[in-house]
Amino acid sequence: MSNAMKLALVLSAYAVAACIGLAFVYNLTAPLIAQAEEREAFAAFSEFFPDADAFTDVSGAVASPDSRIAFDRVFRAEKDGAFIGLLIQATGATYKTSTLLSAFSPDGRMLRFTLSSTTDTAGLGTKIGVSPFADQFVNKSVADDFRLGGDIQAISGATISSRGAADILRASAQAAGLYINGGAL
Amino acid sequence: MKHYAALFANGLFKENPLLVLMIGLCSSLAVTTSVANGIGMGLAMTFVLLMSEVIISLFRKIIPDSIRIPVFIIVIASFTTIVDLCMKAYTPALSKAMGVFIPLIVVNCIIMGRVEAFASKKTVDEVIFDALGMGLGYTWVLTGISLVRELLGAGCILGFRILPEDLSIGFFAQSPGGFFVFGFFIALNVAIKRAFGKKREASATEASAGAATDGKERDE
Repeated sequence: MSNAMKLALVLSAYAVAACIGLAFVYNLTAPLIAQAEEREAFAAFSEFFPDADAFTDVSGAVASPDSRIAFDRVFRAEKDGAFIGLLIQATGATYKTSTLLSAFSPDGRMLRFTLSSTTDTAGLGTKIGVSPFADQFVNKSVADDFRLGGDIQAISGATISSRGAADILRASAQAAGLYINGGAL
Repeated sequence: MKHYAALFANGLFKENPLLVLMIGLCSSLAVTTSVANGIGMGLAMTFVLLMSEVIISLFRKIIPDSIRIPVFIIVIASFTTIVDLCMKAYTPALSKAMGVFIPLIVVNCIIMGRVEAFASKKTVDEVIFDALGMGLGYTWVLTGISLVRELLGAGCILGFRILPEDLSIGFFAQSPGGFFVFGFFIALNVAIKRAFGKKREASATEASAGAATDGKERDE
């Protein structure tokens, strides 16, 4: 066997041993990580609907109307079995990528949204999550345009981030409107 | 035992990785905006350093020299991933606060440096004390820098408000403030070393002068 082959086998042996160890730790921690993520998500959901006693995953029943926007999760908020709101976490292109969590009331209004995460420029693109840009979406009807230059004003110096955020929220609003009116995609 | 104590103390002070060797600086400046992050980063790095050094020391005689670097990287990356997964599972809030700097432990110069320079040549008992010394040396400097930056930059320590918000100096919460505080720590370390060095010199001079006087008296 050539020396190169021997070295390749030795390196592979170390790699396989490392993979086995990692697989063991992954299997041990994966359920705990999933529980921690669920707790974090539910804590975020409770901020929108503090009266809710249950959040049901309806991601399978609600799809994004825009192929550029992905819905990470869609949850239905309930209190005593009654529908009290819808939460949509959607990811799409802004200047880089942003994830927005928006809440909708049963009467077809966007209550508000939060910026879950973004890789946009700090101090510019990150402004999409704060006042005054975010205030434009409070109590907005899901039937509205959500267009820059129309019913939405862009952030000065962050037009691309603003447009991206408006696109994400428009997709969320359209999907929420369909779900609330019983015509889920 | 003295040998082990010397190895341990070497990393804490004499060859402190941050203040003396000045390696592994990137993450140390990035995460020291709060004490919790500083301590978390330090302990995570210590664990990866300890486990990597032990494994590599254990297998040092059967790691071929020509592929030692890829093997070191496999070992270090594996333990970094283990730390990342464990933090996400057991301390999710701290993991989120640390963000990308936990996975970046794999490229921390301190670990690769000690593994290459020390663990690949020494026995397991020696590397344990070296890793603990280096890791805790890294941790205490990180904690010290974080303490200053969080107190002056946010008026808090571990989230508890100490100073009124109006007295916070935003400069210390930003990157330039991190460099400033780090530079101050280096200067303090050099000053303390010089002071101890002068004291030792003075004691040595006194001792040798005393011995010379005794010798003269005996001759007389």
